[in-house]
Amino acid sequence: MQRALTFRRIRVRITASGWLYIALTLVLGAAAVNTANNLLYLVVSGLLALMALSGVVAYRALHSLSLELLPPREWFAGQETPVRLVVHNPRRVLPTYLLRIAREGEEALITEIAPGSSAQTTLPMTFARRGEHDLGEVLVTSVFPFAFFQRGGIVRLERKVLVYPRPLPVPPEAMGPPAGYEMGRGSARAGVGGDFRGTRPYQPGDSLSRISWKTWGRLGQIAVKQFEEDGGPPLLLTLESVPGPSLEERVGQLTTLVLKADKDGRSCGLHLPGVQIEPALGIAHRERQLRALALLRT
Amino acid sequence: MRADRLSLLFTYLVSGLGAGAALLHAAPSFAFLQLVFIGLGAAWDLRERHPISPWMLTTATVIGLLVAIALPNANGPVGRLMSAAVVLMGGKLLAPKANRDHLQIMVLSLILLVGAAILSVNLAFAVLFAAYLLLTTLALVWLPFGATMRTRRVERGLLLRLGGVGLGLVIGALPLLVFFFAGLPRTDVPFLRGVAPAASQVSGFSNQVTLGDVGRIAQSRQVAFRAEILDRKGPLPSAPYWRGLVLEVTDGISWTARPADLLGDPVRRPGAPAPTNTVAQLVYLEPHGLTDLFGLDRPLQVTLPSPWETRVQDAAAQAPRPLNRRIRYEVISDLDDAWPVALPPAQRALDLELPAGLPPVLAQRAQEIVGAETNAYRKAESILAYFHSGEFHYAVSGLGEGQGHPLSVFLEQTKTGYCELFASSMALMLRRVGVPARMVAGYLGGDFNPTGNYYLVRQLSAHVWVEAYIDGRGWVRFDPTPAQRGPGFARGSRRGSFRPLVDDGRVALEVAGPGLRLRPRRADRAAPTHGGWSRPPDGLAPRPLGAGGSGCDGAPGSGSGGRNRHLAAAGARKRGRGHLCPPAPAAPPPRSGTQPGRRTLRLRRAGGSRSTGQG
Repeated sequence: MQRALTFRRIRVRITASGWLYIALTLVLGAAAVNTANNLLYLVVSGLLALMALSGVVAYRALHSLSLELLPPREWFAGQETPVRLVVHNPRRVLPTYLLRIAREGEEALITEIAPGSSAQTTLPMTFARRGEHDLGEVLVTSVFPFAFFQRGGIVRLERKVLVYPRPLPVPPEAMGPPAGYEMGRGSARAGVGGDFRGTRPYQPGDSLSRISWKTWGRLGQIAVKQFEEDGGPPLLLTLESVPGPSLEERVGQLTTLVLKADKDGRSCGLHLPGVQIEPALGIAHRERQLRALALLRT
Repeated sequence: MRADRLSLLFTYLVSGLGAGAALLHAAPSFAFLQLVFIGLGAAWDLRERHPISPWMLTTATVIGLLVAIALPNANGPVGRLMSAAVVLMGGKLLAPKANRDHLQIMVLSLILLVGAAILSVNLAFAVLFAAYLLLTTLALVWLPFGATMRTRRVERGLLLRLGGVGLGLVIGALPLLVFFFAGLPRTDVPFLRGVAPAASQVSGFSNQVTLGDVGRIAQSRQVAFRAEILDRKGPLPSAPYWRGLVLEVTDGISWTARPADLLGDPVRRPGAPAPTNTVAQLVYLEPHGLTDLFGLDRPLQVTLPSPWETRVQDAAAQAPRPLNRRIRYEVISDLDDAWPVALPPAQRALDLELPAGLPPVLAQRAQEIVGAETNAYRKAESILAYFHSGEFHYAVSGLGEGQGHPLSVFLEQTKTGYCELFASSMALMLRRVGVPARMVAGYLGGDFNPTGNYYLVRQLSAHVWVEAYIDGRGWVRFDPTPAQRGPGFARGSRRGSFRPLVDDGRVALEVAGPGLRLRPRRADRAAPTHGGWSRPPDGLAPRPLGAGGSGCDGAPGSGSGGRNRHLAAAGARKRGRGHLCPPAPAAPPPRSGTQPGRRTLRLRRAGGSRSTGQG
């Protein structure tokens, strides 16, 4: 899923300080020619030499960089989500400094990327609507070595991400009775109340309290304990399970319920137009449900 | 170290270089003010408290700026610009600093450096500029980090790495700097005049100089010019005389050049041998604010850079306008002892004229020395021997203020003086005994630089000597000033000394530069003007002139003894001007207290304030 993005064309924007520098060079150049003063020629030559060299250095510093994007595992609409950006500097000698990555008003700064290494930063991104989105473009610039010229360019990320629906509050009556009260069960506790069924390998997102330390001690593998009817009886959600009123609101409310069921350790399924997901547990199942909600069309 | 503190450190170091530039230019008030600003600003920045409110500081800066611009400044617009830069920098140094303030302070510091470079061409500037280049590059690399990191502490490793980047940039910029330095366009003709102040008038070669100035001149190591000896290697066999101006009209106190159009140029004596001992020189003349051009005694032809024309009268060359910029020209000189030109009766009368009011001692001594001798040359030799007898001494200071005519004080009382007193006495004695005589002003000696094969002539080498007209031989040089001149006279090469190499560097940097050709192109050298000669000296003319002068209004025909400016047509035609009469040189602007075109040397009047300008 991760792919390196390489700069193609590098553009230069002259900063206010840069205009000052250029004006100074021109004025001194005119003064040098006018006075035929070799010392002034020396100054002007110095200014020109630094300008030229900074251009070359800046170009070299940006040219062979590559950018890698690490979007988060879950991304909800309307929420500012930090996207990890990893910049690789494959050169042997030349470091890169002060790399700014900007997108839609948000900006991330990488102070230094040593030669032959990578540096990372996070760029907050927000999508208002659920569904599949193109990450679009970022502006990658650097003022290194001097803040007179900002060099860089627009880099197309060529990356699509799936944004889950924004979780919306659900009216209490739509939440149903709390787990544990259903089907005449006496226990009021949700979560780990059922009989021990066995272990399964750990997946990211599993609660630490369910890690089977004995298994880890014996086998050296991290596993989590699973219980019968963990968190309550299976929950089957449809578009009619929530009040709405619009489709987007219902999808948002269903998202809330899916997330709550997962948190409660209660198996949950979705019967939506064109989508049949039977109740189950686990992080992959949760992702399948959220994905279905994100892509739901009627 | 905190990131913002490091930015401040760079800024103060760079502004310190600005103070160095002010010091270099000998403007202690600037430097002092600048140092006060630096001290106060640094103290306030360290305490992070700036007691002067922004509006007060702005008001003070504006007032200071107006004062700096309004006050009369000896250094003209550049001096005003430097004052304004000091004031503006003060306004910046005393205030809290954002990133752009750091940059502005660096720009102002550069303006001070550049101002110093314009006002006082000095090799020390190169050292300051090298420091500026290094410091500013490091600062410029650092400043964006300082702006980003603000009060955070800077990791030592990052600092070292950034320092390496900065150093790499400076080293990498050097070849480019050399490339641009060599490749930038240069012109001998400025497109904007009057911005740089007129050159400093510390010249041993001047119209009127007060007594105090004589000491200053005699001690001034300021460079007058450098003369590269072309066509031959090594120093000349004897201390060279550099001819500048011929002074023929005197009132006993002051000596003046004869008005340009009073008499024509001397005509080479019919049948006189062609010059055999000629030497070509390339002279890099420092600006002196006058029109005189110097060359080895006697310049036959002087070639100025196009489009300037020169006029050579009495083997002394003049530029068409006062020289306020360094100029390079080529001279071909005749080193023969005598200058075989005819002396028309009118000029003979002028060169024998004795002013009224001369002290009687002059005539008495002349008669005593010459006695019954009738040969003009032996007359001159005996007067020369009188001054060289050991009775007279050379000095520029401690001469005292005797009573009476300066020549009588010199001849009767002190018997000590500087070259004008010797030369003036001898010239007047010669005239008294019937030998046409005049004074020639210029320079004597100079430091020979063996690596560059050039003479470096300083103001302290300014000198006057005597030319006597000996029938049958022409004008012959006599120098009555005793040989024990002050330091700087007639020095030869100083092998093993470091100084010639330093001056080589100075020449490369300040004087010649890759943009100015060290040697003129062959075509330039083949197109000289021939002012001062009714026809080009044999062996020197690039081509024989045809019906020279035809159609030249105001220029007498060849050999008529007129000014013969038409002979400059060889150069003009070579440059494709399309006419044979170059325009008459512009008269120099009137100088206060002097007549335009008339140059005066004044002797010290007893009890008066005027004195000579030459050693």
